[in-house]
Amino acid sequence: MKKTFGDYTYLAGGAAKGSLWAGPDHVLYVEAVGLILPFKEQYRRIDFKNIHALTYGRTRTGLWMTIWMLLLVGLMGLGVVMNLGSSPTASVVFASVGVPLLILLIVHLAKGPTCVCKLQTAVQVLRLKPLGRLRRAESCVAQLSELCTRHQGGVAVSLHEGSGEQPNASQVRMAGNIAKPPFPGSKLVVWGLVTMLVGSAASLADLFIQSIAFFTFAGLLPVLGGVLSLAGLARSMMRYRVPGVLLTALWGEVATVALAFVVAYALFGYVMVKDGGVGSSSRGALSGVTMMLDVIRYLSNATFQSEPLVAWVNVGIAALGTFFALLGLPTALRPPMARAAAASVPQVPSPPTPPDQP
Amino acid sequence: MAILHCPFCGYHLSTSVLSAGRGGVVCLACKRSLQVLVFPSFVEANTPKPPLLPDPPAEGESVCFYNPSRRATKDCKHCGVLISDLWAAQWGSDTVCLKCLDHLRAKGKDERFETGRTLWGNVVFALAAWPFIPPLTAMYCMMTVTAPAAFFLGLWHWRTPGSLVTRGRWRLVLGLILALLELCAMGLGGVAIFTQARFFQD
Repeated sequence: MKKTFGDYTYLAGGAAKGSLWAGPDHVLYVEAVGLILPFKEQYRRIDFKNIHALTYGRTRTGLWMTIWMLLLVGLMGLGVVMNLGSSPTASVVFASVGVPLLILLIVHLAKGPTCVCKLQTAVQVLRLKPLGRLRRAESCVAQLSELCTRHQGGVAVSLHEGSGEQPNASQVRMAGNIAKPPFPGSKLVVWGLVTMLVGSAASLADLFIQSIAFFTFAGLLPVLGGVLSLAGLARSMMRYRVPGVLLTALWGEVATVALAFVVAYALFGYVMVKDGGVGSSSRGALSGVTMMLDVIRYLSNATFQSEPLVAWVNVGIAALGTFFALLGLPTALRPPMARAAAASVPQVPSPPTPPDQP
Repeated sequence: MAILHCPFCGYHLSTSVLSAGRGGVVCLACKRSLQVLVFPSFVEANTPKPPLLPDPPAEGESVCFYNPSRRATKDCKHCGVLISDLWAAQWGSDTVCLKCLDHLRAKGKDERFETGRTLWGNVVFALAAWPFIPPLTAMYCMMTVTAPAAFFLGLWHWRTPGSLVTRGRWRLVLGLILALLELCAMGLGGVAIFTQARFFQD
């Protein structure tokens, strides 16, 4: 990454997430739009003299990322160890997924805890995505603070120390704490959790039912559950104060589906190379569709006896899905049940109005 | 009046939150600890200002081009008309009238104020390179569309400026080379199928 261009000096970020640059009288935020590679860049320039505040705080995203990556690395390591003697090629496949994940985990841990940082002006609150790590954010905020105070004059006030340097309450007239309304329940959330519960049960049942149609059904249901959960989560979080338990359950569902995708990809590779390939695809002309159908057929016929590793991985993911669905369902169902209970209470007729006095 | 927002939940931070004690400010709504750095402009924005009074021109003084009831204090660096403070805006170091500001923002090609760019180098590279990503390789037949598209876009946008920040177009060049190789491979494959079909007919 270049450190300067034109009048600008590098502050933070990279090509994929966008970057921050300090100009002569403004900060340039290059916002990257795209998937893995940025396909578009949007430029936002904010004058130092117009910046009202910088706010940031540590998030739990880093912790969750560590947990999920550890889980995945552990699963891949298990796959390597279990196949070391019987099928070295399968071990290589698991290692080829596990090693990059391990590197990612090390890089993630080295970068430190995650945070969210926002810049506020009179007309906008801008999230600075390049400042996603606490350590980087702290140093960058210090640089920005120095530049802002130089252009605005006066001294920046840090409110995190709780010292007596806070702005005068008469000067800083704050609006009241306008809280979002409590979560009233959402059909989308309930359906997402129920679909995930049914999908998890279907995944377990698939171990005893040898049918491609049922395998496809059992595979698609959790995906549908994950999509519904994500939609419900986005819709509810924007409008209401969602309880923490429900948030955990919904994020857990989404993460479980993501985990299932990664594991399915590893299993796909594992099945492809196990004993030199499966079915017809190992012999002669390989076509992508035939190969995929072969693998699907193989996975759908997997049982505890024939493929214990595939079966146990399936059980693990289904258990995770069930756990999160059961965790979230009571909280998701409470508001509609409370409403139904309130509606069932008979209405007491209002007392008749007394006659007017003559 | 300016207000502060919690970076997590977006709630307005009330005075009671700002006066929270040691160990960090806590948002009352989401109960999360956060760091807030307030600059003088925030306090200034919350200081009550007197209302803007009418500013009629005195005898012999210039009047605003857009509002003749106001005194002209500046001139637009873009179109040259005399304007009042109300009709003036800053465009970098220049003072321009609001109409010129609108024009500059909509059609101006000034690099200093560009709002966005499409990174055609990355688009071409992604179009050409996706068949090499393992899970997507199965859909290799899509290459018949994406390879020519990558090649055409690469040539068409050869001179289009890339990112404002990073210079160089190695991704565009690499994308073009990959697209060319894919086109050659498809052509050779077509010839092979054609000659084999003729061989079997004979």
